[in-house]
Amino acid sequence: MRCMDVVAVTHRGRERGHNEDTVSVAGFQSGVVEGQPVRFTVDSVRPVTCLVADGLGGHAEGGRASRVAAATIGDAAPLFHDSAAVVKAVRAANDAVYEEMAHHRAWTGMGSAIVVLVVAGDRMICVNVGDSRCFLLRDGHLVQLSTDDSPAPEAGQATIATVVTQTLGGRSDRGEVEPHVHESEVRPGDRFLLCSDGLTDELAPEHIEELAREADPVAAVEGLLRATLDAGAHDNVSIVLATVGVEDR
Amino acid sequence: MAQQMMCPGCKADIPAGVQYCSSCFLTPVPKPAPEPVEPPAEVPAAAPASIPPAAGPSACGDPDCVHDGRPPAAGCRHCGLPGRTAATTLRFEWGPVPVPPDRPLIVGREQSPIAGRIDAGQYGNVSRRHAEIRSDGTTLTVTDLDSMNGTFVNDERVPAGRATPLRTGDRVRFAARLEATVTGESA
Repeated sequence: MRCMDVVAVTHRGRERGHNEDTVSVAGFQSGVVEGQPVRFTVDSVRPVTCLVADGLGGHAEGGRASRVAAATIGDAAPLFHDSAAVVKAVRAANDAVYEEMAHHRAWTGMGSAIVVLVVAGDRMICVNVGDSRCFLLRDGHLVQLSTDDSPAPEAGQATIATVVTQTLGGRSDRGEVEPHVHESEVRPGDRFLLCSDGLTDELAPEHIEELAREADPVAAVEGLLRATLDAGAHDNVSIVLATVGVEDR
Repeated sequence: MAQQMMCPGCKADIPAGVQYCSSCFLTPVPKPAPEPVEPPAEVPAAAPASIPPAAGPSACGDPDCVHDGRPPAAGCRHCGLPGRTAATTLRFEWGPVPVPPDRPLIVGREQSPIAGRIDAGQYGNVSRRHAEIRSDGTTLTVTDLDSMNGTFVNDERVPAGRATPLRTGDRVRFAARLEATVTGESA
């Protein structure tokens, strides 16, 4: 039996009073302020969907937007056999956030970045909107698969104050989104890292790569979270580390 | 002296200045002072005269506390502080008797809602109107109504005619044999 080993955590960080991030692994959706790493073993006979949704920082209802987006995509997850289905679900999540917004004036403008990873058989699909990221760790190298919707920082500048050019929701008038899609094959032992910008804004890519290489996935996620908290954790931080079928069980 | 901090998850002491528990990743909360806080669902009889787990204002010390430092009755989901459980029930030998805030309970052999339970053969030395129990919604007081054989809290006789506050786990005795324990249960 082929299995995926997924370790997920979401934490409000050191400065924010709320956690506006939402993590979802194989239909299990987070709802904690300060989480501890949770480990899942998922049978990968059917497509396995993991996602990180990062509610728009500073907006009061960012958490609502990220939960609505995560739930909408989670509902459609059994149909994720090709990238078109995932893109359709991400667009539906965008519509759902705008529909939720219409319920209350104060919710206007809430939004969420999202990155979705689907592993279906020996193929993987990565779809993202905004600046939440998906990396592939293969042969010890960390490669970003998602495409940021943010202007490239100037040389030598850190992207602490992130400007996002596209999110699910996030505007007062209903708009369309153009999700970024990456498809490739999956090899046993591949390790995928999904994260909100709370991780990538605090840690340098080399540092993330070094911590994510840790053999024990729980220790790897703990190391990443610990390093982020030690670096200040100015934003909510969410980490999903999915390792593909290393051993048969 | 700086406030001693602890992890709300594993309860380990956290040195001052450390921002999070290194094993649970939780934000430290102030350590409860002298006695260890007991779980709210304690069996009352096991802990006579214990300090109730009453969390005072801003007990958790978290500036971002979603409950303004006052955990709800069910306890705080975020910091793990137990809620302030209302202790407005008297557990008699035959079962619990809740005391609502608007209806004081008269304990006695006559004119009392529990008169039928107070068998004259067994509890003959309980007066007809022995004592009155009042509730303010969270705590109880007992007032002895000039009874012949006295009312006792944890085996100490209380003065007649004066309201004596009761705490969770206190044993209230009416005359020699009739005894009740103060609990937070509602049923």
